[in-house]
Amino acid sequence: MSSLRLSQQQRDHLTLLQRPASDVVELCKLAFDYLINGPNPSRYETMAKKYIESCSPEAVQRAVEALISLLISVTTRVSVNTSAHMQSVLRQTFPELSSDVLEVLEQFVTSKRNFVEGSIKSANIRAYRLVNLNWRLEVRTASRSLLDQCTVCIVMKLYLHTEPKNENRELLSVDLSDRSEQELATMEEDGRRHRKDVIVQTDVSSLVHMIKTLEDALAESKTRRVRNIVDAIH
Amino acid sequence: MEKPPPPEDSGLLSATVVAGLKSLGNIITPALTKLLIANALKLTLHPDATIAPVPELYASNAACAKQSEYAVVTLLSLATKHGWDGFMLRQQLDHLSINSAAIEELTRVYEDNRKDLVLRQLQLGHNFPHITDIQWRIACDVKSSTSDCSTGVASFYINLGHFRPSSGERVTIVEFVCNAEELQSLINRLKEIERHCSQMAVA
Repeated sequence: MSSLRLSQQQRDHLTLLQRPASDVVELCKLAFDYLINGPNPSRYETMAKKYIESCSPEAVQRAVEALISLLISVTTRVSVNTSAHMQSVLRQTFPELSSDVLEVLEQFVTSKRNFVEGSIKSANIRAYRLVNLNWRLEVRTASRSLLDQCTVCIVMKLYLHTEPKNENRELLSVDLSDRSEQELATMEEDGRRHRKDVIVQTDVSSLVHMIKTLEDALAESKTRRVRNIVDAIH
Repeated sequence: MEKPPPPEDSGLLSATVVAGLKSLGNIITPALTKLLIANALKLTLHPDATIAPVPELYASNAACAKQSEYAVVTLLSLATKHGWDGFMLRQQLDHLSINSAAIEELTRVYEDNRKDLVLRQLQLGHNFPHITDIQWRIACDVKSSTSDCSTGVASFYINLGHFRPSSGERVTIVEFVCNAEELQSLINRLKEIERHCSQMAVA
């Protein structure tokens, strides 16, 4: 079973892990916070003063960033199926750490694994994902070319987004209250670039055909053959 | 139903169209009239399609034949637009003193193809892209530039499109990716729409 290959610099930054498990828990919490809200220097300063008397706030921040780097490495480089496997990889990577700390680390990398997976693995070539659908049932009663008609028509608005997954987008949502106008404009521009709304229409028989076809696709994905292939690749 | 006014009075048919219709069976021979009406019907139903040229139509009096072709296309389109039946079309043409064999042929062709003409005119005008076809594929990543191992989840690539009526060529309207849960929720939404449609049909 292989260990993770970490650079010496990364290992240096992670020396703060050689502390009691309760301190490591705090560091992991700071790393979670970093993932959602970005760096928070005041908290690193408090942490440096409160728990780790002999280190600077910068060292705390570097440790937090190295933890996130570790999380990404574990998610993208290690194919882990069981908790025992994960523990073994971490033990081989950090032979100097106590089992308490290793347990905390294992919980840290496991709990955010899905988040990182969605954000990084599937995000290298971002296709549009369907995030919402609005619909309207219409009956067209007349048009320029046909005055007398009664055509049932379903209009749908598809909301597409290139962000990886719904749950990740929610996690990535940020507090807008104390952002500058320029930051808000940049974020809006970024949102517009990654978003596409498409309005389409269909008729009832095509709708029934669509449902049937999509159900076939879903059923096919649940067959033993497809499951076996996906498991084998994983 | 109130009887529609004669076309000339109602202003539905222009003088050019009326002149074109009057040429049928007169300046244009009865045999060529049949051919011209059949060709005009094809032009009305499939304006984008490549229709085989009929040179004999234009051999003797090209300008007159062109005008009549235009007149027949206009007549068929207007009759469809206003929802005339065969009897009403005949009545309108009788007012214009058109050759009786031409009236017979025009009425027959209109009645035989009324459904197709209505379907054709339903497609005209402003519409949102109309989905009639859906394609899918299931794919699972093995390795990527950002990750050495697979996500272990199959993704569904859904492509919504339609076929061009003239050429049969498939046109993609929108393409997106979803996972099994997202696909299930899409199916549920579509079923919800279908349920509402059924309720409307019953009500």
